[in-house]
Amino acid sequence: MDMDKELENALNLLKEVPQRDEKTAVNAKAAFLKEAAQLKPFVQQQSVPQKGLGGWRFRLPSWPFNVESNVSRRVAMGLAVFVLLFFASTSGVMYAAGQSLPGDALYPVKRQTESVRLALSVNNDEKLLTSFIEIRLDEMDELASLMRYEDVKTAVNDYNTLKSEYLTVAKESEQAEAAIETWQHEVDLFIEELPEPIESIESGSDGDEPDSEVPTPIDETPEPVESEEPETDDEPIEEPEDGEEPEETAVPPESSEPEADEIIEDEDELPAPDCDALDNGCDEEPVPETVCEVDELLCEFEADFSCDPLEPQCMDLVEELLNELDGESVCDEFDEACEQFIDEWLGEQLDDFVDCDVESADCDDLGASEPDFDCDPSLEDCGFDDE
Amino acid sequence: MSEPAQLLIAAKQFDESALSQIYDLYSHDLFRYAMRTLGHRQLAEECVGETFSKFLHALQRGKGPNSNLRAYLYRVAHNWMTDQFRSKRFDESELFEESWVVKDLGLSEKVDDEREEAQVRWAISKLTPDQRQVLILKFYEGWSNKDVAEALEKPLGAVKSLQHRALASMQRLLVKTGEGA
Repeated sequence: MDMDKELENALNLLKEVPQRDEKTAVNAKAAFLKEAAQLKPFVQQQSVPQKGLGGWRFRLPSWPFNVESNVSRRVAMGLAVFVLLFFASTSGVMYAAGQSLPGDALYPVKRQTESVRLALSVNNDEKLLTSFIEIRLDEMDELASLMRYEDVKTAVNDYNTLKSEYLTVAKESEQAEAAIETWQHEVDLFIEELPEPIESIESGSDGDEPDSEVPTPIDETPEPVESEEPETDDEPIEEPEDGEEPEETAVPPESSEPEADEIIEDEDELPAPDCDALDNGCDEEPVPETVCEVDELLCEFEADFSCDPLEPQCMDLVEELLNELDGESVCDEFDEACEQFIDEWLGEQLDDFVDCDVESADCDDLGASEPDFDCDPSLEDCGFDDE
Repeated sequence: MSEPAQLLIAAKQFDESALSQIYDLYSHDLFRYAMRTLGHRQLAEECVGETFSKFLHALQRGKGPNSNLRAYLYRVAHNWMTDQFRSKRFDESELFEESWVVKDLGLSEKVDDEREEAQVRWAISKLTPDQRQVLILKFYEGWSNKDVAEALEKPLGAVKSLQHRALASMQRLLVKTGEGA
């Protein structure tokens, strides 16, 4: 870490940590092992782990995607699916997948499970398909109540796929026909509810990704995931949401340029940030260019808005903001639309953000209440007790 | 001692020897980490205990990490500490009270060191929790940006900027208190 020598010396004063109390440590370990012994009889089987479940940072487990050879990877994939299903009854992942809705990260798993069950079934197809269709209807119901209309469309597409399969396997009977009529009627009601008319929904061309046959997603995902492993950033796999991002970031170029200029203008007064000097690891490893570019933005941002450390709320804001910024710039592609989005977003944030100088009246506008640190009168900038 | 990866596999089967080794491997580091973050011995012990307990419960449910156990444990510890801060379970002014100067020096030196050290402790306590975490993990624990990002579940850019701002803050805080004079 590159830093001022004096500061380093100061920090080094705390390098030695008070020793842990021997007796306490021994007791703590004993308690740990005791708890382990108590839990041992109730161990559930290992499920394929998910990181950041439900959050936007959904990441697939590294195995089996990181298996080297293509053939082995396919075998490993097959094994992974098998393992998933085998432990279906007790695994938390399967439970979570079973609860998921179209548009959720685990929904593809749910659909894949259904496909596999169908594939494995002997003479049970009709019953299975019936139950899957009804599940789709339940999902549509819940999605509609959550107003997740985009996802309702996904459910409808899946329903259509299932319906055709049903028609293929179901024996022609009054019962089958009646069932189809009922379902279709319900689905039509949902379609009517949608705010935007569905054009291509019958052809099922949109939102088919979560839906594809079991081999296809498995074949497609290894490439992007494999290249992720050596990188340092998390990249979410957001298949269902792919369609939405361009919409959010499509901004007329004109509006974002002035803001970019503004940022640069403000910067004239301050020394240009030097990314290298900040030891921000641009040199450390082969980091894609885009990360460094984001860092530059952060550098600029910091140069503009250095928060007074005595104003904790100020710094919390900045941190939140930077987290969001980096979070949004899953902009690892850093294409034009993405850049525009960041510019626009940053511009918005700059408007809200105030340079929170302790003595600045604007600090109050942020709803900053009385600081809860003791105002040490020996500190220069502690301006709360005078003026 | 076995490889960490193998230890983990055995631990998932609740093999006592593996769990014991894991505890020995990581508990002191975790204590140090908690102590640096909280500056309070009892709380630090509690943090360690809770972290390992949560670890066990995760294993029991068939979850838990498949690799990088250290990052996982640190993350659990970090989350616990963050929770405590958020729910204001304790008075933050109680933290970092205990003197850390352990060396046995001559009287005058000791007093100076103690005062200086108290100032540094105060400054660290003034950082926001996120900044403090990054400072501790990077400076004191010597972790890489990547590991810190993983443990704190933050984007890499945020870690880098947190480090920068943590150092800048420390600088300003210590200068204000006349440190180094």
